[in-house]
Amino acid sequence: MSIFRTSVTISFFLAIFLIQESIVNRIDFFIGGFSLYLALLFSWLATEDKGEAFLSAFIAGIILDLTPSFDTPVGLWTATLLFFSYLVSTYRESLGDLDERPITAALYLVVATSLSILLFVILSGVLGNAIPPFFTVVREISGNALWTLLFSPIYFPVVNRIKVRLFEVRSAR
Amino acid sequence: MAQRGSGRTRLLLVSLLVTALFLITLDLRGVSLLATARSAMQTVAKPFQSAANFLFSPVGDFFGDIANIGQANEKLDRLKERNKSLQEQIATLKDMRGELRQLKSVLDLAGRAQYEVVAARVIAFGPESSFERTVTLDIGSTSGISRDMAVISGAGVVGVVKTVTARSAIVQLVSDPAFRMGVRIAGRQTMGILSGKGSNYFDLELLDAGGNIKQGDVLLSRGSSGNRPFAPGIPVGTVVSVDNSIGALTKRAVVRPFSELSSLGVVAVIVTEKASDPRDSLIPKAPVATPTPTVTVFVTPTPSPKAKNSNVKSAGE
Repeated sequence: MSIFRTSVTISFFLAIFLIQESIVNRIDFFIGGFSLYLALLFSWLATEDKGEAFLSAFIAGIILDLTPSFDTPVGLWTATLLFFSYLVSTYRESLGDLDERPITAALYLVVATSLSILLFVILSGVLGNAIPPFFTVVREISGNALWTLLFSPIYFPVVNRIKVRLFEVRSAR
Repeated sequence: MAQRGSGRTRLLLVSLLVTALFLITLDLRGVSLLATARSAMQTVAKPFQSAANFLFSPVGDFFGDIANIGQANEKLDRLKERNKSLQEQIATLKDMRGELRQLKSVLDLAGRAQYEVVAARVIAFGPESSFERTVTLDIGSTSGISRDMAVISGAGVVGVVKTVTARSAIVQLVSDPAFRMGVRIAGRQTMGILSGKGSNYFDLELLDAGGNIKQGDVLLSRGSSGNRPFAPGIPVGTVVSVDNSIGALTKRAVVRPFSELSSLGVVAVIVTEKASDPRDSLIPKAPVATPTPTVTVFVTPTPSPKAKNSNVKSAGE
């Protein structure tokens, strides 16, 4: 991954992180919460090559780990997202062209975000952090899944447009 | 070549995973560098959070509000019902307080006059279209009420019982145009006939053409034969104007009653009265004006600097 691409990736996830922290987290979703950050991250990963996907997941994980309100160890989200970036990049071919298959894309995002949150909670418990009550976890994950599904038509077009603007214009030069 | 590329990505993945695990280890060991990084992130995020708070706080609860709209409506309905019930309770309490005040004052008057009374509630006012002024009480012959008994309020005469049933009684008010009663001016023996006019004012006609009457005089009942319907000394009203027409055979005056006949709530029917005349002892006391505190401000002029200087100069000289 080039320095330019890395800096664009950092800037993108930092911007999404700030939007998540400043705006999305302020909204009172009546079931659970909504992670725009994870949804856009998995959309981003689905359009990357393996190596770039790993690096993107690492950058996104580090930014997420530095969330000031988190009590979990720094590196836990990074490890979780690296694991999922491996899964996504390995099985990406079987998903097909997600731009052409919106239902598959929506289901992929729902499953990926839900499982990543679940894995994060499990790993957090393994490392000795307090695990929230079962029903709270279920409510949070199902709420996040619902909102991810509802907003699923926007992620891929947004991510693709940003990538086209930033990377292809540069390569054309 | 592809295997080489695959090996490199695998190596990259392993090294990134190791880095992540290393970071976790460092954090669990309490390395302060990571806490510093988190606080730096907080420093970066804070201006954005503040700006977002300013911009989006009015719409922050939008989704929650939509979700809770059903509950909010139910809560609103419950609160409306409760508000209605509380308003009814307030109205009832106000009504009861008014009735209690009236009952206290009528019992007070009856106690001073040593009358034996039966308290009653006014349950209906007679139709004004009939030109009669009557009220209906919630007590009747079962409570010892009979025809021609005097009815008083806390302030004075109200009327006379005209019709009695077992559980109700109709009272002819003093304001009824057909009502007549003998009165005397308090402090004197000047007597007259009071007659209702159908309004809140009565006519007074003195029996003695040379009688002396003036505005502000208090009228008391003169007393009837056998104290029925009226015992002597019951307050009636005050003279508000006197007709001093030259050539009139008798002196006439307009009287305002002590009792507020249009807002009667609780009254008392005099069942038996004391044999002796209470004279003027039942006249209601005039309300005492509450003194208003006054503040006196003294202002002493401060000498101007110019005057001060001239004083100093003159002292120096």
